[in-house]
This record gives sequence, C-alpha cells and structure tokens, in this order.
Amino acid sequence: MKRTRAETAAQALKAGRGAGLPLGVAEEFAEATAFMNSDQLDRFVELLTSSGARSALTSVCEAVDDLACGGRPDIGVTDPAVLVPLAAGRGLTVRAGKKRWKVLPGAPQPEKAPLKIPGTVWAALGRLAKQTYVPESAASRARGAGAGAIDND
Amino acid sequence: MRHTAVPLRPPAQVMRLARMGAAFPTRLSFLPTLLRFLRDENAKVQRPVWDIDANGFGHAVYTIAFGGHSYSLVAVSTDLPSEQRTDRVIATRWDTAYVLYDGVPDADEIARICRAAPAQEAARFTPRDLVLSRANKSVRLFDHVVDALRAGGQPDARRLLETGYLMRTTAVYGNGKFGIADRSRIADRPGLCGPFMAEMLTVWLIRGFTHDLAEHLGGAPIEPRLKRLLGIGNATGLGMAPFLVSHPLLLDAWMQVRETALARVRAIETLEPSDITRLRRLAKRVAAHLSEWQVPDPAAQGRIDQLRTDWEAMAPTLTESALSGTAPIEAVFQAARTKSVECQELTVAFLIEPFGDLVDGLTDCMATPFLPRLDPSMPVAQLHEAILRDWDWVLAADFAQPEHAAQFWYVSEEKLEPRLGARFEEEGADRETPLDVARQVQALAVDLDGKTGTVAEFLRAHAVHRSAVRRIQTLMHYPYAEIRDNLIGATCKPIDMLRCKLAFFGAAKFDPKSDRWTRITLAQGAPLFDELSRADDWWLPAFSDP
Repeated sequence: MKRTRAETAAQALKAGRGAGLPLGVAEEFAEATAFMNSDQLDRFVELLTSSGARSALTSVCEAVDDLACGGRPDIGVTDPAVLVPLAAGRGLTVRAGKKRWKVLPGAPQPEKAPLKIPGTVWAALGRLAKQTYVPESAASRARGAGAGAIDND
Repeated sequence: MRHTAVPLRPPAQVMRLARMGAAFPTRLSFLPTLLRFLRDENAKVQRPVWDIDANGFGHAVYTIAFGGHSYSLVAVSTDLPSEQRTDRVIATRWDTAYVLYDGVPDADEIARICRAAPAQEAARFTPRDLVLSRANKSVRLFDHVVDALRAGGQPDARRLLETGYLMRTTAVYGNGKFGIADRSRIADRPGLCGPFMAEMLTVWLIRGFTHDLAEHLGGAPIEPRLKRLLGIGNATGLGMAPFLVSHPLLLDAWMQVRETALARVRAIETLEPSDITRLRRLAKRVAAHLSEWQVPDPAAQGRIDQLRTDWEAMAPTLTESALSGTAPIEAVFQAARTKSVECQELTVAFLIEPFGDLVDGLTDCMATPFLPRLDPSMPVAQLHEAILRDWDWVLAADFAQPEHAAQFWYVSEEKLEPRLGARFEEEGADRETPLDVARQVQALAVDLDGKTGTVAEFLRAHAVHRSAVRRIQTLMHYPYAEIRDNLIGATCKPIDMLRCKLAFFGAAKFDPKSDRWTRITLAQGAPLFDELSRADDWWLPAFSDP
C-alpha cells in the first residue's frame, strides 16, 4: 500500500521511540523518511527491529555528525541505505568514495511521491509504535481528554 | 504616517502560556488572509451538485477556482442517532463528512468520496483528497433555524448569536493523514502556500454548506445578515497542542509575523483622520463583540467580564483628541499594559487591524521552508551558555517536586486519542509523549556541566540529549520557537496552547469546556460566498454592528 510521506514520518517517529531509540535519533530518522525510497525504508525498518537497533542507528547519526563537522567517516562505519537519507534530512548530500564518505555541494530535495510500503514493513513499524500507546482504561477514557463521551447541545 | 523603530516584544514575555492562552485572532490569521486572497482573485464558489433528499441526507459538491487550480468540497450528510453524537476522537459516526478535492471530481470520484468520507480515519484516501473533515450539528440551533424557516419566518437572531454556528467540525485533517495528499502537493500553489490554507478553505466552504442545508430543510432562505452570524464551530482537544512543540520553526514564524506587525503599528508617529475614525468605530465594535460573547463556564465568563471592564477603561485613550497626538498607537498599547493579559492581547489585535497596508505583506512569512538542524560542531561551552541565557524557566524548575512533574501527555490505544494524565495517580507515564522539553533541557544542563569539546563529542557519550541539544540550538536563531513554560507541571493548562494556535487560525468566541477542551467559532461574521468584497472588515464582528 502507498503511504504518504507525512504518515510515514509520523509512524517512523513513534516506532523509533517504541524501539527505545534516543528521542533525537528517532526524530532525525523520521525526518529522513522524506528522502527514502522503498528499499531504504525497508533497510531502516530492518535495522529498527534488530536487537542492536539503538546502537546501530545512533552510530549513523554520529557518522553524519562527523560529516557535518568536515570529517570523512570510513564507508564501512555504517549502512549506506540509511546514512544517505539521514544525511539528506540534515541538509547534506553525501556519496561513498572508495574508502570514505564525503559531502557533495548542493542541498538534497525531499521526495514528494507517496512510498509503496509492504504490509509487513508497515506492520513492523506499527508494532513498535504501539509501544508508545497507553492501554485503555475507564479512568483514562473519562478524564484524559477533558471532554464528555456524549456531546449534544 | 511617519515611523520610528520599535522593538518586537521579547519572547520571554510573549511565549508564556498565560499570554499565549489569551490570544485573539488578527487580520494576519489564516482564515482572513485566505479570504482576502480569494477576494483579490475574484474567486467564485459554484455548486454543481446538490443531491440532498427531503430529510437532509445525501451529498453536495462546491467548486472554486483560483491561482490556476480548481478545488471542490464534497459534502456528505448522513443520519446520525442522537446518542452517538460526540466530538471526541473516539467517535465513529458524524452528522456530516467532507473532503476537499484537488480539481473537480467526476461521478466515480464523488461516489468514492461518499463511501469513504463518512468512515473518516477508518478509510483510506488518495492524493487528490487534500483535506478530510467531519462536523456535527448544534442540534438545538439547527432545528430552531429549520423550524423557523418552515414556519415562514426567520430564526431568532439572539439564538444564532449565542451559539454562532449550525455545525461544529471535530477534526480537520490535512498533510498526508490517512492517505490524503502530503502538503508538498500544494505548498507552492497560490493561495494555499500559507499554513493551513487548505484547511481554512475547507472550513469556509463547509460553513456555506451548513447554511444551504438548513435552507433546504427549512424550505426558505436565511436573511444574509442572519446567515453571517453563523460561522463554523469547532471542538478542539489535546491533539492540537503537541503541534506547537513539534513545529518550533513554524511557531517562531507565526509569532515573529504578529510581533513585527505590532512593532510596525506601534511605530506610527501620527495618524490620518480616516485611521482615527476607523479605530474609534472598531473600538465600539470590540465592545459590542465582547458583550455578545457569553460562555457557560463560570471561570471563563469571569475573564470575559473582566475583559469588558478593562476595555471600557481603555476609552480615554481612544478619543479623537488622544488619537490625534504623537505616537497614539503606542499610547494605547502602553495603556493596555496596566490591564489584564486578555486586554493586552486584545489590544494587540485591535491595533493591528486597521493597518492592512502596513502589515498584510507579512503573511508571506507565516510559512517557513526551514527545519531545525543540529550543529554538531558547536562547542559545548556555547551550548551551556545558551541554556543559562535563554532557558531560565527550565533552570527554575525542580522536577523532583511532584508539582513540577505532575502531568504527562500520552496517546491512548483507543483510536490514538491524545490525552493528559496525572503522573502520580494514573498508569502510563512510562510511555509518555516527550513534551517534557523543560525536563529534558534541565537534564542536559546537568550533564553538560564541566564538559568541553564539541557537541558531536558530547553526543557520542550522551546520545539521550540529541533532541534537547537541537532545540537549544534552534532557539538561538529562532527566539519565538519555544513555549517558555513547563508543559508537565501541575499548572500547565493545555487550553492555553490550543487557544494560541486557534487564534492564528482566526477563531474567536472561545468557549472552554475544561482546561484541555474548548469550543470555538470560526468565520462568524465572515463574508458569505457572494460577499468576498467584504473580506477586509469582519474582525471580531458584532450583531449590533453588522
């Protein structure tokens, strides 16, 4: 099914938080989805659902920090499928050289077209996002939103 | 008019919840900005489809063209049992449902929308669908209007004024939700490039539909002067509040535009006679509007009563003699500073209103193409200095004290409804939505203490602070980007955030139902479909001053 960029970003943010990523890492990857193609999103979700998600994805952010500071991290340091869109989300166009990443001139432009996302991938994001929802209770339903359940005037 | 420079009001004053929660709509708000644009485009609303049965159920299509594009509102009206009528996110059925469509829908598209729109969040939509909305009747008023028309008369103006709308929207979704178009599809289009313009267009068209529906059932037209009294209501809950936190650059843009407009008018040294006349007439209209603004909640009504008193006390600054002096706008502004915060913010909107030539161009800056960016090369010492300089409300809090961490924001599993919980009384704080910005920044300040090196080096050891670091860096360049209050404290009232955003939409007649839920009226007094020539003078309308 096709998903809009906005709902993909929103789901990615919740999934990132649900996976235990530091908030800022989850935010950057959510913003990076605007620059992802379907393959890159698949890889991101694969990493997100892995046991080493927190360190793997945080290290991608750190590699982009290095690039933004003028550094040239080793190409082996992180997965290109997720580093390229994450860098784009930070305003950097990057390319892998023979041994190192480098920043190219010019600002990347986000994709506008909705993403085709397999049901399994969306479901995986959904399972993680669900970790950020609070289960229903009578008290929560009654007082949490500040309005009554019936609303006639 | 000659001008001298006046600085903008500082963020430390403007970005406090109590003041944000006293905001009023201005001529720079999104709905009036849209209507002026439609007027300038000579845009015409047409109704090519009216397929509503004798009971008021069926569908209708309205179209409007501007900026080289056509847009259509598809309105679907269905039978809703009274006991199922709720404004909450957890509702599953509504009196009416709407889609703003990109173009003019053919029969197949109309049929698709008629199937999907009533299901709202349970359906999927297409990139041709720009906005999704639904609205419920204000049943007593709707029935009264229909009954009056059927009896050969007109509805009671007092009752129309008291409620202000025939229907209330309970959600107006844009930007990619449930498969509708991402904002990028329309972000470059004339008229829709400003924030929430597609949503405002939808609301204004829905208003017209509610008029047409009542007239259809009543079998007669409503007099235009009465029809103008009927805007569109809205029931707004917590879902709107996190937006201000998650879109700091947009918030900064809106505030900078409004504050710049205020600074410009304050800088006026002398007024033309026509401006003086306009201001004095407007002041009377404000007084009339306030007298017509009645709400059931006693505390809220108490604030309105105080505002009426304060506004009356402003009268000496608004005489012809006073306004003929030097720097008269500044004098009015300063006089208001001795009054309630509500009066101060009302005065801000009042002073901006007559000077469209001076301020309307600022609305081009309401949208921003920029996003927050982390600067990893910044020395941590500079970051620490920024916290000490710009985040005093954070440093003053003690999150070990229950009252400073009393609340938590969360999303319920049930239909993903945003809610606010009491941290020490309810379950769920372990899954709280991270709106605890002040607490995050304070924790960062603790870990920054004594550190050297760059932000990149610091974040390698403290990845948990990445979001807070970016917020601090953002505030250094966008001074109105942060709400300068503790959003999880016992005294935090979400309704202050809601009112601020709704005022930017153009909403008035705030009618709070609790400290986290409010009804409002949009487009009351606004031009009807064939009255766009009146698009420049309907701010804070009053029945006694039609």
